[in-house]
Amino acid sequence: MLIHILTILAEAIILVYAIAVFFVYFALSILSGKELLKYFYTEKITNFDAILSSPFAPTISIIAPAYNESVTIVENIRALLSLYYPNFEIIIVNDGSKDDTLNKTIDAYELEKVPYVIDYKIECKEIVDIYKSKKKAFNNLTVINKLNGGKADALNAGINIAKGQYFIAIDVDSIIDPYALQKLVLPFLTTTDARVIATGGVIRIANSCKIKDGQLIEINVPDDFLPRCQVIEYNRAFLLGRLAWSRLDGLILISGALGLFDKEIAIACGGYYPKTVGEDMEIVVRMRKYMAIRKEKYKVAYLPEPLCWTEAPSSLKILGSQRNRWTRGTIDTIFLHKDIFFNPNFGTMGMLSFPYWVFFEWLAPIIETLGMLYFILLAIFGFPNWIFFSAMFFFVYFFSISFSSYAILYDHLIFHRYKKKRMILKLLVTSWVEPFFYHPMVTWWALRGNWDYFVRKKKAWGKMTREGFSKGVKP
Amino acid sequence: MMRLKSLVFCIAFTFSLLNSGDISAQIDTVLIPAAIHDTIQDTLGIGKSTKVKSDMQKVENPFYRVEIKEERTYDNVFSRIFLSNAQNVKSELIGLSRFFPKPLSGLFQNIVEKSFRFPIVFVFLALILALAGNVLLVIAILFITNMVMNFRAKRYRVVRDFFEKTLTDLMLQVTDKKETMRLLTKYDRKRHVNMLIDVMMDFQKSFRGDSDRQIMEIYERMNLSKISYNKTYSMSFYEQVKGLRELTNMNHHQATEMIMAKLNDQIDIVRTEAQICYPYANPESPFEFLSFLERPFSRWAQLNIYYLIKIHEMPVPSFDKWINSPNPNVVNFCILMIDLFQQQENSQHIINLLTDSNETTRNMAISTCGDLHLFDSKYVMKNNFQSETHRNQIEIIKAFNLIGDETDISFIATTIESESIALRLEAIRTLYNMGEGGRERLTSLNLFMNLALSPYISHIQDIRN
Repeated sequence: MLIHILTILAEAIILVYAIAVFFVYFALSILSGKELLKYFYTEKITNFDAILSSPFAPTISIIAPAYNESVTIVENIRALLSLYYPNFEIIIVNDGSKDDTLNKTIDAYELEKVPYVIDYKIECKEIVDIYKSKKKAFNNLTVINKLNGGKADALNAGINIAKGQYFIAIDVDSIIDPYALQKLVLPFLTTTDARVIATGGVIRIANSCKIKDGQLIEINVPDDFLPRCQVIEYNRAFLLGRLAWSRLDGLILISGALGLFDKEIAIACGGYYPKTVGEDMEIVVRMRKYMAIRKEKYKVAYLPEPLCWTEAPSSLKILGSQRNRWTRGTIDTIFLHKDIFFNPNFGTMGMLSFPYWVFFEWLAPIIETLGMLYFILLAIFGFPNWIFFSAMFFFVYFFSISFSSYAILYDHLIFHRYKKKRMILKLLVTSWVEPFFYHPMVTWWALRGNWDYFVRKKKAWGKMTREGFSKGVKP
Repeated sequence: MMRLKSLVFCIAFTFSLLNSGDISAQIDTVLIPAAIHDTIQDTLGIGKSTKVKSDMQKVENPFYRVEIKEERTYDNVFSRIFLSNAQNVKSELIGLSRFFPKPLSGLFQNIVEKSFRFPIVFVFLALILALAGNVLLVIAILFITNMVMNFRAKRYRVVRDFFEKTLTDLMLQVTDKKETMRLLTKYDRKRHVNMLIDVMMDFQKSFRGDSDRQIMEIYERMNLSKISYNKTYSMSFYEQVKGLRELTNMNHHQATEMIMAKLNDQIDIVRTEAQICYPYANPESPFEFLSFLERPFSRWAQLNIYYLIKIHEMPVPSFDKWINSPNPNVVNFCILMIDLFQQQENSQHIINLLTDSNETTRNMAISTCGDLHLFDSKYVMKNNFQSETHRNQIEIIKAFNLIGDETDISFIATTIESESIALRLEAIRTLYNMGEGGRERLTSLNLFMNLALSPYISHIQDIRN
């Protein structure tokens, strides 16, 4: 009797969970569509020329941590120096690289050590030296050489040196759109009813794109299957997920590859937390919490425009390591800030987005795997109603590819980056096979992430090897 | 999965019985788990409003096979029409199995039987078909829109070049106005008309004098001004902004009227556009709108207005008229403009703002005191220093870098002992830049107070820091 009740209860939970997932994703996609359309029209009528030579343009500090980036560091810095914005500085933080990242940079930009008194507003590992260029053309370039402490620690070191009112945290090997700063700073200038504390943009996959001197020349869909799946995944996440959450004022994650933050608030919060691998999500949650506790009106904005292009992992090992780390970062943030969970004092974040991350981002792979195992057991003992199962299976499959198709459609209609028919076809076909091959791998890596977090107590970043964009360049 | 099937079926069955018409021919046996058998009986109201016989038979697994024969129909027109024919529909569908190959024919019949037995399967089948159709529709839209977008991009270039050439010919007197209008009306689709207005605006910005007047005349005579005017009444914020911009750039007489109407609009984007358009539409009094602002004046609007003033070299009035505005955005804007345009005549107003309640206003006033070299402000800044925020204290020290003299050395020297490194650095920089007196004081502080100032002095000596 008890077993019957438990099995019915388990099945009911799985059913309710599945229905909730469908409705939530459906609602998010509707909201995102509306918001995307609004952004499209707003962007058409915005005159960005005005900011290019304006004394009103706030100073922005670009902080780029670098660890063993000697392959691409010189061209990446060159790309950053050519961003279209009047008042900005670039701070490269050499986080104890074991290769010749620092020496290459010193040679390329004629850097020399400068006497510098560091104001450690945020705790970080010791900053050994500060370098600036002898050439006036690179006046806005500063290179920090510090002891290794991880990405969060490197960002904190950069914040300590930063002079700008806002800072932007980027991955040094990412390609930033030349107009990114103008666009990212816009919410800070246009919003009058609340204090904007952070903005984020869309990250795109640069694999197989033509890149020259750190600038994107031609956009292509990745040739390899894994990066192509990530294109679909990123489209869904950025265009159908984060945009909706931003609209609901519940966005709690801005990508570590590109995010613009209010420096004063970030320092007041204590900067990035160095003991987590999900520092990008953790700082946004903490900044939001800080403002909510002080009952100050604030906003975390989001721009659905592709402003940053990054190299996606193309090997299973590296991708697995990345997803493992993302899972551990999510769990870290959830447990560090568990007091937000269903806490009305934190508004939409407490009542909607944080629970969403707990149930539908963290627990989803676990519940999905348990459901699969339960079904396998039933199948072994000959219980399943195969007609019903087939109906459910096809329903779920078509729902998921429908969702992916809408992500591709939204992207195409608004941004039209992938112009050729075969590119669209490639993406569509990938979205059809992704649920069978890519999704189970992602689920597996997420489970491994849970295992590593709770059982092995793993805290490290793992190895991330970059091939460099030069390998992705088409002849 | 069997339990799940049962649970789902029970829910569907409950709904179908509660809402259906004559179902006696459709559902005759159901399997109900023992655990919820009683609950189902109560829910169905068996024995109350319907004459239902139930023949309970306990089977091997813990389920009850229940025979339901409902004799009374509910008054539901749609379900009566639909469900009374359901048996016919089922027979028809089973008949269709003859078109399937033998191996699939049995499967098809099985699916039909199960679907009629468990209506929820119908729902899933319908949803699957809807979703599959949805995916096909999206694919079709993707390919069609890709073609259309690529075509339009090429077409856009062709049409735009045509408009530019036609207007250029008018200005060079290759063609007259009549002929120009005849050529321009060739493209009368809405998006082409909008493109024409955009081209006219570009020309109007680039040319002056006779050419400028000719463009505006064509704009009026082709009734394009009416289109722009109507846009300002659109429900879409995008159209409203476009309308305002067009009327303003084409110097239309109705521009100011529409701008004033939208100056305090609820929609931020529209309001910002009206604020930006005002100086352009009223060059003789470009900032008069500051007197009418009831809603916030964003930094983006301020930035764009400054850009317009610089581009068009508009005369800038004295900002003392608005410096005491109740709107703090307006006050801050005035401070910035006084600073940028070096309006020394407003120095007393700036000094008065050093004691404003708004921290940002005070910060901007302090910065302006330094930029305008307002020596009279030193006394007020020194007095307020201790009660100021850390950010403003740094700003005060920076201002003294520009207006300080030997009489201020003692004041600056006291801040060197501050715990704040940022404050200490600014104080040392200021003292260093005060000349011999300042540097002597630095040396004495370094030697006698044991403050270890050498690293700080090295820091500020490098102009790159």
